[in-house]
Amino acid sequence: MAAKDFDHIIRTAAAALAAGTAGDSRVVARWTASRDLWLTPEVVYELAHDRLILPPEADGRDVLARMDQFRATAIELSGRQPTPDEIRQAAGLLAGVLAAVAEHFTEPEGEALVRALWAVPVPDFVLALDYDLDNDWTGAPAVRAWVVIRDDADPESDEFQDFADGFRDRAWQALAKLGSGRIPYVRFRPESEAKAALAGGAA
Amino acid sequence: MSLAAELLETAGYLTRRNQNRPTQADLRRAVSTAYYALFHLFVREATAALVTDPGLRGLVPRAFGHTDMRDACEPFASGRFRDPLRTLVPATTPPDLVSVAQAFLDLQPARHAADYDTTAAFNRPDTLAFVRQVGRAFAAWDRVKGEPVATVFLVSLLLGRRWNR
Repeated sequence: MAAKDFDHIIRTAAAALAAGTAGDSRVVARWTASRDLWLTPEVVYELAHDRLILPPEADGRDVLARMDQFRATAIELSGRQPTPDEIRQAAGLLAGVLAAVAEHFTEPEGEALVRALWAVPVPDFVLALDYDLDNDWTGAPAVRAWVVIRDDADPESDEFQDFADGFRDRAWQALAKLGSGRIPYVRFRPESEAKAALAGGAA
Repeated sequence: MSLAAELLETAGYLTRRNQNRPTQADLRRAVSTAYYALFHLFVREATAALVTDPGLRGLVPRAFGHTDMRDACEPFASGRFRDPLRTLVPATTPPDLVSVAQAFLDLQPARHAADYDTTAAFNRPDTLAFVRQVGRAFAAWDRVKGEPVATVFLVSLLLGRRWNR
């Protein structure tokens, strides 16, 4: 797996988990809906190999233990519907791992967009976000952001269009607040397309 | 109906064809057509603001360039104005004008990919979002076009690049 592809897997998983906290049942339902994007052994695959950058000593061992436990949980839950408690536990394990390594895989602009995504209540069909820092076709600095949506989301609904307009606005505002000169290009990607992109080389 | 409005309607039609199994050709043409709807709206409005002679109104539209128009939209979309434009615009750009400029910025690379990038894959949610974004930009333009800053925007579409020399 190329390092760049793994960055997309980590970013997408982190964005899915950033939807909220385990105490909110709607968030747990969203985590359940988005589990194919984060509750898989692939999310920690490369962390266990040459991309692993751990905090020192005891904290590092704790992250390793969480990673092993998460991998085992992901394998155990594959192919069946997890219970809400299982989702909470798996999300907690992965969140602990990602918190320790996130700085190596995320960019300030991307974090700002993830925060902007979940800053307001969003429709249930929104699952996660992936992004790339890049230049647009004129050479201007840009952020390409893909909002991952459920395959059955209705793009003709007012709910979808209102969300699309609102998130575009929030993305512009988030980058402006950060002082970034990058232009946000917001795109939508059904979950099946996102999974294929993550499996075969993201974006 | 103006050419711009017809193009927007055509873009909408293309998104509705083959709803369950949209073709890449339909989606690409929809994105490109939606972009050109906005492009022609801008060109028509800017030309009307700049010249009254009927003969010139046929010639001036040929002077507009995609990249120049994109560069002109960027400060209105981001709020980052430089001199001399900064002296001509209010402290806060009307939100409708911001939306119009952002729509053009957003659509242009999508249109470029739709027309030239054979490896790009388009999906229906994205395409519908683009077409609806242009529709909303048309409505926003109708609301804001009477404001003085809208004229600054239109003139900058043609001349903005030269102001930065």
